[in-house]
Amino acid sequence: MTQPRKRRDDQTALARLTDELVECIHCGLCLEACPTYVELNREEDSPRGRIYLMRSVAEGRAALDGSMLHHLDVCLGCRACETACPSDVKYGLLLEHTRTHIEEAAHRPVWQRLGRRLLMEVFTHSATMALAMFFATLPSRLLRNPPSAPGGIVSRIMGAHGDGGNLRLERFPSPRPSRLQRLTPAAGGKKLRVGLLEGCVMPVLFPEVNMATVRVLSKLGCEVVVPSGQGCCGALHVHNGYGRQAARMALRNMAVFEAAQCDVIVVNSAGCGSTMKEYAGLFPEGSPEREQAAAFSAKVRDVSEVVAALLEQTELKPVEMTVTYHDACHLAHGQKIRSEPRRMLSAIPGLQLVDLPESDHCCGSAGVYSFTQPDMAVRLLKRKVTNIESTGAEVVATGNPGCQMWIRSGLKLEGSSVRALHPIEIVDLALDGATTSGDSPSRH
Amino acid sequence: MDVDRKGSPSIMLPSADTRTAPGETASNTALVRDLAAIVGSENVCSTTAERMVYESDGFTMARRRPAAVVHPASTAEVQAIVRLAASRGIPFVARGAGTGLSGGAMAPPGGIIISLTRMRRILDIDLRNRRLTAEAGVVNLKVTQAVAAHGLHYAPDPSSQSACTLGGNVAENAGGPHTLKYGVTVNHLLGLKMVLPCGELLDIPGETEDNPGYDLPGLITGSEGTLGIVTEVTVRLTPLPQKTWTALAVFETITDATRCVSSIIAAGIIPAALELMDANVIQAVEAAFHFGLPLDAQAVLIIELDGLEAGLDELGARVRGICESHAVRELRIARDEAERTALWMCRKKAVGSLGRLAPSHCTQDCVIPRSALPEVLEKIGQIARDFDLRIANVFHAGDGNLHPIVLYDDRDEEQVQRVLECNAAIVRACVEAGGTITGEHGVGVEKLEFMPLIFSDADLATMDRVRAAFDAQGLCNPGKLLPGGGGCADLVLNKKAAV
Repeated sequence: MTQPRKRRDDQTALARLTDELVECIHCGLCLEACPTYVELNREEDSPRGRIYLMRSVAEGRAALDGSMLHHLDVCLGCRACETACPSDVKYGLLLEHTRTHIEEAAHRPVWQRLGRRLLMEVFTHSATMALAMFFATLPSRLLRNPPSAPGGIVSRIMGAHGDGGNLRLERFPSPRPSRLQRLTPAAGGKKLRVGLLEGCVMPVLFPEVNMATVRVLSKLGCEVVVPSGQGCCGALHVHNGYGRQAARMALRNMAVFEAAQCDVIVVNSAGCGSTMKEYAGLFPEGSPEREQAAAFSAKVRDVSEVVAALLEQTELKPVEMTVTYHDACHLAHGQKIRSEPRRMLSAIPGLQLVDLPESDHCCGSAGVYSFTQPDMAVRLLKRKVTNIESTGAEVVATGNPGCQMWIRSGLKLEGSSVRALHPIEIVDLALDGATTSGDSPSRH
Repeated sequence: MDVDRKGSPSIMLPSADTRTAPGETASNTALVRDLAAIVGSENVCSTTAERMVYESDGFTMARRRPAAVVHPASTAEVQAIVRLAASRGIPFVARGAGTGLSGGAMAPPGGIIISLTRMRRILDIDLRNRRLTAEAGVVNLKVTQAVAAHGLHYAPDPSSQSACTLGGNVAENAGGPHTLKYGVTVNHLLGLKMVLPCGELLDIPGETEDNPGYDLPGLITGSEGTLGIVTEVTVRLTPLPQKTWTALAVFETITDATRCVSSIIAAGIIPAALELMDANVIQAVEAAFHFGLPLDAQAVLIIELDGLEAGLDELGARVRGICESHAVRELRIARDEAERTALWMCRKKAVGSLGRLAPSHCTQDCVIPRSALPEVLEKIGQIARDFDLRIANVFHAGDGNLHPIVLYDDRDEEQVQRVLECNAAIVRACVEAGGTITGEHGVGVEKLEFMPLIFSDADLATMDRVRAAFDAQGLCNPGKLLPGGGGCADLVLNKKAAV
């Protein structure tokens, strides 16, 4: 535009975003892409409605009251609206800043604030998380029940209704996270030096996915470094309104991976990868950190990006399996990665890849959403499980631990025999890796 | 009704109601309680935040906050709500996805919005008779998706078809790129259920064609929600064409492109679609979808032919010849369905992608005789320069249905006023060229002031009487479509409201 834009004096996280907020031209093409709109059919639970609310707060036309907070909290942050938006509105960014503003300015009951902080701390430190999971599953262990963690209690503390957030796990977790070795040499000639993000959830709930990732990368000619000193990527923080902490975490990872001198930084968790590709947004424009972050992000790859390319010249063993693929939101919408994981799976002889209806519709896991909004999370999970069952596949593959945990839990809840695996575990099978046992086929 | 029929350059932009009026809370509480008794409290929006998001539809220059928003799940619930409103004298309006572009779904003063988005069931698919019955809140595209496997589709395809609802399509008599050959909504509507403004149900079955008596579906289609609330429709399903030929024709000047349009039609060819995008639109669309549109061209045409396989390529060759005689720079034929879909996505999401060029836009919708295309487009270019505004053109060239889109920043009040005046100038230019004030977006509140440009006092009075025959109390979407209609001529002019 030729006209200068008016600026507000008030420099809250939200007010700074007015220019981005007005990029929404209210066309409504995002509505049917939004999982919460499709469930609730209400404007205030749609991306367009939420942007309208954000804008009205930023422009001082409305107060951030309980009702507004509720509708902003119901947003999954799945960013399916970004895929649908013809105007390229950066909804994810708007939501992150709005949530930072909410945590700074809105009134939440003290226990909810504490509960939120606690969730952040637990899920972003694998040692703490392993202990928490150990104790959470203790009752079911003592009662000789199948392993489950009572997420519903957490949800109620957070002020939510319903108890649908209970997690049904594959096995009782170990009280200590399982770590990867710091350096794994490339098998055969070294093509790349790859830094791997170990993650917070992976070493506790899916150590087998991390191990499969290392095996696959190594067999495909990558030297794999897992630098010590790395920490949480900050995704949960930035998605839930703790932008400053996220920036600190980003700086730490940037330094650690910089020192490790890798060609690329590989991430096997969609949510983490998406955040690490957007580190620059955590720092003010023009700051040196922002530039460093951009350079760091340029090296970040989802594991499927690296593996799909390397697989092309590799001979694979047949894996007789019918697989369907669920697009993790932060891969499909956050990183625009859809074809690589499918290409990776299609390359495996004997494997039949079948389409999943609504494959890029959020499963409801969405970070800590399944704890903070269990009702909607469970509605979306049931929809996802029904779609998965309709394909007749034996396995649903998905590239994000949150989805894998939540979908696996949903499949168990519905008594389904479908297994939820990370695509890299299936590639590992085709490369004759160790058995991916996290989800043994002989389940009952 | 004392309305300025000369058409002042101002449009009514109500804003007073966006604040809570004194006493609103008490009466609202009672209203919300009674609505909740019908649909359940979880289906009534009553908080400020919840009501605020319904202030406008896709036309954001006029806004008004509803007193409440209610979400019924059945025709019976709609009837109960309408009866309640009628007994209290509360005006009401139905709303679907809120993608309308003339403010038709904006709440009347002190009124409520009856949102039909929960009524999204397809009730019956009758393949043998090629018809489908669905609730009004069903999204347009879902109809085609439901029957595509059987080789059928629902022909009216407005650009918002991935979001807009059948009820809204009926209210606006929605068109779309393919209406050039297949016709608009009214040509595909076989029957409907409509809740009358008194709460009674009008049920016109869609089993047979050509019902005797007045053509009520014909009257109701395009009535912009002023005659009642359509809750269910039976629509015609159309076989998918055996073959489709889609081409992108690139021109150095808009005049070449528009002359080419006239020549194609004059040659007796009826394309399935014939769409034009100008340089501004090409820029935005290319940035959004990377189709490979030429950024230095002044205009592109999307030309689609469809029908029986035999003869289609020959027809394509004729079209190519006509394009060449109008100095076409390049004619690119879509190789496969994927390329065709990508090209159509550029067209259908073109308006949305303009958010890349400016924070706000206002889409005009006028129809002119096709032969007048070259000079009217030149006139519009001149108007843009006169008002110092940027105008993008993307439109259904085959029907002469223009969509000049004025780009602006709605936070700048002076600019908003210029946009309003610029719009008025465009509409006048189209009317002077023998055209009319709206093709498919409807009159809503946006075009009210222009109705006297094309209708005489007697015409408008007749329409007022038709409306009164359905809605004696004047409660059903008052203040829309007819300048004096519905007892609501007191809508205030307020330029500040366009925030």
